[in-house]
Amino acid sequence: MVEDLVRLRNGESTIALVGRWAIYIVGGLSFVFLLVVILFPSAILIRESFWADGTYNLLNYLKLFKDPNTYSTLKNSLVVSIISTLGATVLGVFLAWIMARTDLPLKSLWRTVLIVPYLIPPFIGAIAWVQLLGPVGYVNKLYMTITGISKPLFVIYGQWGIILVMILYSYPIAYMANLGFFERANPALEEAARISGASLWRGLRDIAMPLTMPSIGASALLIFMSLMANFGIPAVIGFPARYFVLTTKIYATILNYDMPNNLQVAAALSMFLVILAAIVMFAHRYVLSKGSYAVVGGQATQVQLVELGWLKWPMLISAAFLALVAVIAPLLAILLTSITYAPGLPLKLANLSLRHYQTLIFSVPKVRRAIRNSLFLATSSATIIAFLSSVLAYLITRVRFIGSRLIEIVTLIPYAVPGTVVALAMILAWLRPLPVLHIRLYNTIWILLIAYITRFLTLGLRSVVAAFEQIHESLEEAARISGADFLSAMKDITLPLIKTSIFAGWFLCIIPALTELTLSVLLFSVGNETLGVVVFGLHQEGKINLTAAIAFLTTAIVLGMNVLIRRLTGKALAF
Amino acid sequence: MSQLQLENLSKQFGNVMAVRNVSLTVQDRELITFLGPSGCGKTTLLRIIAGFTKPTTGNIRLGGRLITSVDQRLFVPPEKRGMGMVFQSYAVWPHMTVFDNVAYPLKLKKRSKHEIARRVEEVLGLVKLEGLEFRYPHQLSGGQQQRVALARALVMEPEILLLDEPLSNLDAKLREGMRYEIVELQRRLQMTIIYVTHDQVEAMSISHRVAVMEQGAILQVGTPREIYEMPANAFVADFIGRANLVQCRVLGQHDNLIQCELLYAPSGYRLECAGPSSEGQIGRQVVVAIRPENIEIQPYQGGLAGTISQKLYLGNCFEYIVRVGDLELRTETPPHIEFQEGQQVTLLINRAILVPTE
Repeated sequence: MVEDLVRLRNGESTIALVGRWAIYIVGGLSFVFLLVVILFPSAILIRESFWADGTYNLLNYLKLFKDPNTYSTLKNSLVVSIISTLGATVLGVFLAWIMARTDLPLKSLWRTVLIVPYLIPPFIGAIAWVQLLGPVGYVNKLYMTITGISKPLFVIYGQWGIILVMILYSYPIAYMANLGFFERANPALEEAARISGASLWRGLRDIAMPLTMPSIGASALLIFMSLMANFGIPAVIGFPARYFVLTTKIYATILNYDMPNNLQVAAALSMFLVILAAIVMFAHRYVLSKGSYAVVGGQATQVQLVELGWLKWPMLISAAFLALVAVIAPLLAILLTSITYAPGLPLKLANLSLRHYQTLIFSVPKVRRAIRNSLFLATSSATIIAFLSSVLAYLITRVRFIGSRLIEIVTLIPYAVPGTVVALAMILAWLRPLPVLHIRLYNTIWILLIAYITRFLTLGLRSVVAAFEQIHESLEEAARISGADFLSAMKDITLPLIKTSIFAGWFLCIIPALTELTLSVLLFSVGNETLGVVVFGLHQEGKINLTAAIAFLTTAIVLGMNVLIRRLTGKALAF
Repeated sequence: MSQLQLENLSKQFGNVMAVRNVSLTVQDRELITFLGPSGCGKTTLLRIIAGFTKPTTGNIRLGGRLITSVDQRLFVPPEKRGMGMVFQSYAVWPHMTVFDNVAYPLKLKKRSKHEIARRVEEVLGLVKLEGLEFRYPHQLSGGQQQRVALARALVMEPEILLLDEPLSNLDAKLREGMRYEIVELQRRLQMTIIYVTHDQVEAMSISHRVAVMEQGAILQVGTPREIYEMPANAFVADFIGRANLVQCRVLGQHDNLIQCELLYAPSGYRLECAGPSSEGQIGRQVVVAIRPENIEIQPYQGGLAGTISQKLYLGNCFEYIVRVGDLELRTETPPHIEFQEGQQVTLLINRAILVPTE
């Protein structure tokens, strides 16, 4: 305070002073807002898990421990997540190595195409795969027609179907996370092995592999946690076979109005996932810190690519096959189903029609409502996040107060913890009306907005913090010494430089927000449906053509937005 | 033995010729340096020799046997060339101890544990790293990591040792010390060494022969003395040591020396230049290199006149820029002789080299 009066006397303009204080106040309020919106529901969640029969006790936990169902659900979660993580990691790392280190032809094609599964919401992928491998799916029908056997080749519902779809939709993460590492790792380390007498394979085994392990391990942990937290895939593919994982079980418990104390039991069940998330986060930190070798960097010498020779052909065929299976087949499947006049009709030109799209747009009011709601929620949350991120990032990087570390951790919670659990916490927290204002957030669109904001805030925050960190303070200091006051330096120097990152952060939030399912499916109410909810709902209702139509539409929008961002920011959005 | 013959080597990257038609024979047991500015192709050439890069044309023979041949599609892989290499970034493996790093080549050759231990100790002693066997690279200084890289390259008694700017990441003092050690090591082990650097002082001080490279081609190969005293062209003259390059007109030849008139200076000053007589046609305009240490300055007393325009004190000498007519010449004096800026001086040139044009 006194300091500011001194500054005023020394010539700092009043506007600059006010500007600086405005940022502090807004920052402070944001900080408090975050604490309320994130920590409060977390606390309620933990508290409620101990509530049963009118008091606080361990009954919920005991009941869960005694129920064999709990263990089988936990086992299912672990089995699908671990197997899928292994599959996705092996596939992704192998792909990354091929792209970075060999002379495979048509690389730019593969780079674009093989990442597509990452851009598509997993539950839409699951729906597409039901079109392919459901009991009357295209692949099965083709198989039965060709071979004359009356049993389908493989029905996707159940454990292995979940694993298949999980692998196909998570391998891009392993690929992207390790591609950068392979591309930038100092080739001299492997070359030193070669000149010491090691063959190419020996060099890979003794030198490259051990040094890559931390990167591979870290990305595997991330994939594992995201699969444990996934709701859409096990919901679409598991429900018909009565195969439950933790997330779908929690969902079922929340919707089980007949069970007394259901929310509290769900809360207890959620704690498993919370603790698991915390463990995985620490393991991730640990693995990354162990691998802080100075492996990346060194001279910009050309990495000598491994020549594949005759292996080129099997590799190309495999890449094409992967593209077919992971990208083309599912998209084709939902496209075809969406333009087939009625379910089950053979694929003939006569049976094709666009009527489902028509129905969607004109005859199903909740679709239009859902699109409006999703647009509103996505754009508002992205904008609010952009604003919050900018203020908070400034405070974290430039003002560096004690709470900085705390903010980063707190904002990470709603992202690292499974969406189902976040939704449950919000339900429990906001079920009763707010004390002073007497507004009930539950069953309104506002609870969805708050949920989206807290869920995706960390994406925007990390983007802007990274941008601020890259702008050395000396740039602003140079402006100050040239005569600019605090606000002008901010306006003329800092803002233009971080503009792109804020923009990128905005997009980074808007895309997952548009197609969000996990939170929305628990927090929506009639009139407040979102796009994801409607797609999921239509699928549950068995309206396969309409579902395919809206799924295809959503996919087209998402892919289109990604192309738009790539043009605008000049690079692909990795995370 | 381990004579290395490079025949017509070229390397093209897209539109760029990184190495142009290089032919050179590296003699057994010599220390030869590829010297040149960044981008001259010296590292590319080294990597072609090591087998990491395939040339576009040419052959390489080691001890008579072909190890690279574009025509015959023969490329012996790096691990089978029996060469040792120290990389600019050292490339010491961070996940292995010093001992494991140095032992690796022997482990690949499946030597016995006993022999490996003995040999590793021996080589660590050679590079003065005894006692650090079980440290990890991140626990060592830059200089120590570099010695680990060197030990690893030496442990398998290679026919040829390749050093890619091994000292460029060290500080000046350390660099000077290491130069002596490398020379000593070479004399002791009688190894053939190919050294790559952009530092001409380094090249001159340690090499038996130097190959000066520019834009992918070798401009001149010779002993340090030959290169310094008889540069083959203007680039070499300017790159090695310091040189004042001036234009002159040939007046005649006499006693193996070519008489020239110094142009752009107060008229009539004559120089006697060493240089090939083929360049000495009367009336021809030539480039002459005059090294600063070959220009003596005295307080003005007639002769070639100049004015001191700048002066720098370097501790062991004074450096001057002297204006002579339209020319600016660099020269130096020992520290006990000092001239002032603006002072008129007489210049005495006691040696000049006529630099052949390309």
